[in-house]
Amino acid sequence: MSFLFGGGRPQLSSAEKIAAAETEVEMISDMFNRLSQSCTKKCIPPEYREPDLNKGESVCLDRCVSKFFEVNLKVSEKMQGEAAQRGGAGGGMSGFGM
Amino acid sequence: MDGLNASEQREFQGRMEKKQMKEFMTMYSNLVQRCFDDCVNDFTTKSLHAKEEGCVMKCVDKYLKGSERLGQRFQEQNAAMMQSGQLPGR
Amino acid sequence: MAEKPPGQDPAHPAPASLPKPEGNPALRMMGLPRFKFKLPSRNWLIFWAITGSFTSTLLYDRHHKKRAQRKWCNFVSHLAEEPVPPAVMPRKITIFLAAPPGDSLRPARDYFHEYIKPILVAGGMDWEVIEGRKEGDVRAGLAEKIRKLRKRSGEKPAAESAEEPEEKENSDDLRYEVRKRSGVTEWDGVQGDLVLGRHTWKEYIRGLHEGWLGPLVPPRPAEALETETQPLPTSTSDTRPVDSPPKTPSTSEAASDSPPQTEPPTPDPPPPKPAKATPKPPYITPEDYPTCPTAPSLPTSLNPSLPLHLPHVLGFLNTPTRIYRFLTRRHLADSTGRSVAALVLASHSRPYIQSAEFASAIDPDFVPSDTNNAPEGAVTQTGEAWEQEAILKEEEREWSKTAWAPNKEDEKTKERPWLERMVIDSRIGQKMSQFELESGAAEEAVKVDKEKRMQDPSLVDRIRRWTGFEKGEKKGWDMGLEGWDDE
Repeated sequence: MSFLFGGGRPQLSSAEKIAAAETEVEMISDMFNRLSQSCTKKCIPPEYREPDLNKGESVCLDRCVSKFFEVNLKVSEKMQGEAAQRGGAGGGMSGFGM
Repeated sequence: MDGLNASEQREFQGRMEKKQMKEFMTMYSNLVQRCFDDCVNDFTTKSLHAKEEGCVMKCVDKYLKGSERLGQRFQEQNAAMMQSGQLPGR
Repeated sequence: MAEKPPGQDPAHPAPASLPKPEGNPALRMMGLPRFKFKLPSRNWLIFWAITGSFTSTLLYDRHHKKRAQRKWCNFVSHLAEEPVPPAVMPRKITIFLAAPPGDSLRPARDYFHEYIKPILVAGGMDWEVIEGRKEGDVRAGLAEKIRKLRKRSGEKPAAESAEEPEEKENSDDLRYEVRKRSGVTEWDGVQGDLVLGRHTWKEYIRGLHEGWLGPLVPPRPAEALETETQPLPTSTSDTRPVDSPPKTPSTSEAASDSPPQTEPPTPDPPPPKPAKATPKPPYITPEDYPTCPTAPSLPTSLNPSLPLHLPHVLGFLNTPTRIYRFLTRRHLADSTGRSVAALVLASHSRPYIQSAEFASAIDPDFVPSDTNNAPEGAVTQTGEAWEQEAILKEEEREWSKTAWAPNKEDEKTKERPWLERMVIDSRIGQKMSQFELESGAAEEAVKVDKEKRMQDPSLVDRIRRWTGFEKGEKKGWDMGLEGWDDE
């Protein structure tokens, strides 16, 4: 999870660093929560006949995750394009998408 | 966490533990809500029927297994994404 | 009845002027106008007859197509309900799709989506697709996949590996690593390959040979220079899509100095093409098969395969054939469904056999139009032939003429696996097998389908049952009558 720390950053105080790392973890866990909510909703039918995942559900979950990531990527690309068009700097948008 | 020194690491760990606890609670309440919604639809009695109880048990099992699976896939995807340099939000 | 018109002589009634009572008296009493039934004009009749018969044939066909597909989906759907531990990947098969001769990839893809995918989904399968836009793409893709498999199973490339540029890990490798670390296991069981169409099949066979018999690293450029007198950049095969555009000038030089070279080379490693998306040149050619050592990690049996017919005709003159096929897709859906179900169930597979009857099935006077490529007769002239060679042979008759055209001058060395005769090495040929349904599966499928439809009838099913076309569950009155009969 070191990708927020790109090269050539100005020196930060330790509080700031921790805050940044925390935001990052938060973003990822938030993304996972959302993903798990929508994928279980879409893939696991609300009739619980057996306690195990069956094959169909497993395949569905696998594909769901990869699609979720793809959508994530597409949306962030699109938004970045917009941001770049609008302001050029895009500094305000850097943390968005996760 | 390459950018952090030892003391920062410790501080960070502490926060993460708190966060994890919170995450766990959120997941728990989500799970309760989901299984309740899916399994319990009959309010003519006060306690759960055997059928509803069975449904809830299966629901919890299934949900946990599903989360496990999702977690694995998520890890893979995340690793792939970071490696390819196409980071979300960058 | 008819009133007399006023002011007429009662002695001389005028019967001719009276309106003749016609039509249905009841309707007339109700004051409804007289309906006159007559046929529409001849032209309208012709129009309606043609339109109506076409439409009804189409609707009938589509309805039965849907039923056939649902039947095979139902037949395999129990597999999707099997429990699976969370750390196990589902069964993954490989689909080989290639653009049919003279056409784009689209028909093959459409066919896959329309007829194959529903059954795979119903059976809870995962799959990966190896697609080929050009002749040779599928071969290259499969060979690459096998080589990766060999490397993963611990095989080290031979001495010349030092020259091999550092291979860049792609996301697929990375995923594999992550999976290995977190203890996720692949499905243990047969995986299976699905090959669509004769042309893909031919490439598939080549790819198998190249992957398992060929070296792990591309042939040395020195060798290539000897045979080709053309520069073959080392890195071509590893990072082709990225670095091919800058290479264009050098290869065009090569093309310009190729005419002086005397003999047109046999299809030994064709040089890298300047075009942007050419497949990797093959590491070995069919002539090399007998001399190639087997890969140490070659399994005792290869993945069973399922060659599937890809119906595809082009051309205006073939319009009647195309219309006929358009209106009889139900048969296609049924036969495809049966084959795919065999692959999904994977309960039975049999090895391909080698016998003389296949040799006669393969057209004896088949001569590839490009006479430069003549690997035929290299291995199999013993009167016996492999079954693989004869599979889907009839499709070749439908290939468009452009598929048979010889290579153009500027691309003499382009590989033509579709036109050349298949060469099968017995080390590979023996290890291949084909998916098959057990006998009686068709009846079983009908039964399963009927049960499923009983539980969850569609509107048409309800109508059929209600009108008595199909026997549903016994109705109360049926029972009563039976009881009465017995007494």
